Amino acid sequence: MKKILFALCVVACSVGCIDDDYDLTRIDSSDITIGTEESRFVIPLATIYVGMAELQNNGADIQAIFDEVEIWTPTTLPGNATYVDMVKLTDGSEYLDLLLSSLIDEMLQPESKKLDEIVDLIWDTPAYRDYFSSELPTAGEETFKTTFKLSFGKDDQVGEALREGTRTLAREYLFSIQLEPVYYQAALNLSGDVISMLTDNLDDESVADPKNALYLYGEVMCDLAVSFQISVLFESAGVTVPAFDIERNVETDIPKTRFFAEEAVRMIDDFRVRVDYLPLRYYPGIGFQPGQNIRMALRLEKTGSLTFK
Amino acid sequence: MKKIIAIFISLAVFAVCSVSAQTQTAYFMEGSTFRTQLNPAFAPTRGYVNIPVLGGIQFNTTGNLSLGSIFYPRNGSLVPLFDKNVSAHEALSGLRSKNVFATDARINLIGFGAFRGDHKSFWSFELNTRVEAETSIPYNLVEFVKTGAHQLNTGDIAVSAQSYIEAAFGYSFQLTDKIYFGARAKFLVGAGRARMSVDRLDVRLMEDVWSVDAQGSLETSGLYMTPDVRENGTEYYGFDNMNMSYKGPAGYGFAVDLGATYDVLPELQVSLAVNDLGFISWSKGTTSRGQMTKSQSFSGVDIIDGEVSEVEFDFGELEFDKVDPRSKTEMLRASINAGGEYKVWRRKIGLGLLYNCRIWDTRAFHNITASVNFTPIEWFTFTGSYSFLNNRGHGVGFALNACPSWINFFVATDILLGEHTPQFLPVHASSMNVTVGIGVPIGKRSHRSPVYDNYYE
Repeated sequence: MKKILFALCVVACSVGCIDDDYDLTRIDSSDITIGTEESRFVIPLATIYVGMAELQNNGADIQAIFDEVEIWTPTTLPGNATYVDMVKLTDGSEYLDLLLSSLIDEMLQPESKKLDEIVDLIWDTPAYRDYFSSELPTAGEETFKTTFKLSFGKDDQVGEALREGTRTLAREYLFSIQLEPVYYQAALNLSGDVISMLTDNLDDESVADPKNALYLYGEVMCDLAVSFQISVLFESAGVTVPAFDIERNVETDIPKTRFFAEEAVRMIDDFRVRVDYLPLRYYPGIGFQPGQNIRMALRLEKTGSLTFK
Repeated sequence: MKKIIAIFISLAVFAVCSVSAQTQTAYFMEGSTFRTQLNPAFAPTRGYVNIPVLGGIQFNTTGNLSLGSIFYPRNGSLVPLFDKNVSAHEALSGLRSKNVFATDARINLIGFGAFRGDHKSFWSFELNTRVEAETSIPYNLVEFVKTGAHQLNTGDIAVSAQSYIEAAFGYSFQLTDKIYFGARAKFLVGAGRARMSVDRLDVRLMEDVWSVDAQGSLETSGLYMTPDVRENGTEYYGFDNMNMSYKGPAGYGFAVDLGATYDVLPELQVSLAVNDLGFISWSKGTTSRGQMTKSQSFSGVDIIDGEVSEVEFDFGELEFDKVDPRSKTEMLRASINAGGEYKVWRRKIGLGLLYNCRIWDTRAFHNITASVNFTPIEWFTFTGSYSFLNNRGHGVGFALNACPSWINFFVATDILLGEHTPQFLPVHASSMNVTVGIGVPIGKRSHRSPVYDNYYE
């Protein structure tokens, strides 16, 4: 009897210490994470080096475009400004008129180098040369240039026509400055595991204060003598980064742009980017050197944990 | 890395489900046939023939990691420590700098033993199948995962398992009036073995670069792995489509158990044993080997003047390049038992203290067990014990041995008390033991112990 009681005690004790919370039949290992809700991971995505040859309009690259801007603008800018305001050139304000008046004034100076530059440009550009065909003989370079320079300052009908023609050509050129959008396509070759880590647990739009979110951000640095407004469209994802301005030789942050899960997967799987460059300011006198470019570093920031399914 | 974590969890589940080691509780259990496993100088009270398979089943786990530090109850489920619902503090508080699991099982297929004519010298033969598995995982790997640290430099991650057949012949005899000596020679036939290790794992999740650098190896013996073939014709072993088939015995080895007992006083006996001192050599012909050297980094694509650099980044794949096999000799997990027992109350109660040390590779795990052994009648012994496990945990164990004239039954375990799962696995103890065996006694009782000579007659 004693033995039976003892055995019962042992069994009772054993059963009493069972913790059903640790039932191994209920193991769920489907959701493994790296980090916590407070974690932040950044993965580099792409660095785009935009060379001068890529920035062009109608076959002319940015150096050719702004070399001509330099010619069509006076050496001393209105208000002694250090840059040509490319936005004001097209906004209908009096800025362009002021600029052209200064240009003509500079060309009227004795032994004006600006006059020489513009005459050279007109002779070298058949369309410009033809523009003056009714006022000037176009048979020989020397004759054309000499006649242009002698007549430009005269207070007669030919001189007036040359000044007005020069003003018109400069206005048309400066008014039409633009750059064509640049398209990039690349295979990022991130494995499905990595893409899943970044996108599997992203909060959707309905979450007010998202912990698990994915943002694109980065920096832009520009060596060129031009500052720009840049807008970036990720074509496959249909996500646009808000337009932002970059100043030359100043590292500029790309605005953080949120990607939701499907957008992120499409963007990584099919990395196609359209970048629009709108010139804001041109800094004359600096010029362009080989190797100068715009460097755009794009990164993805994942807040919250990384998930292994 | 994902594969490493997955393998670790799998092994953890396997280890905790496979259960337990040498049952120290039974060390002082007078009359048990199982006791001779712990010290070959010991002998049971009678000869025996074990019932095949049921004659002795032992499960053991050793290490410094408990089930409760691997799995956590959350929302009605049991989730691993890598789950997002387990905080970093919780997960890391149960770990050490190096976390190891070892589990082994021994199943007695055939076993018998008998006393010689002097009723003091005892010989035995056993045919056992043994399975051993172990895994190790460093603290900083778990820390990296749980805290989201951006850099990991670690290594020494390993999972391994092996199985072999053991044919053992043991002999215990009286050296002097007070000293018994015992030895057991074991001939081993390796059934199979697999080992995967990651010797170096460096991961960087930095703003300018994500990279993984890893070196590791994979070896199997007795198992044929079908390699995958890359586009360039090279062969490798991967985990996605791994096919294995059994090739047959793959190694041979030899080991000895040595033990001695010394009766310091009529009531005080001290004993010492070294078990599983030996090796097993796995043959080259049945071995497959793979080496992994993975070095990948991703710093984004460079698009230069419209030209795109080609990069690839894959975090999860573990691919082991097939390399020439070679033979491998490995030491067994040796163990040391040193004990002392003092008998009181007409030798019906024994107070025992046992030090146990298990050694594998360069690590040692130490246990100290104190036990009270009660023998109210000549054919029944009951033992209760309290163990300090590797300076980390503790456990209460019980064992009983019943050996009436027609059956020899023993059971020993340390998992009856303390919190345990519905599957009877301890939640918080890092080591556990379950041993059970049934045999048929043969022959007359031993004349070794005065218990049987003086007190019960």
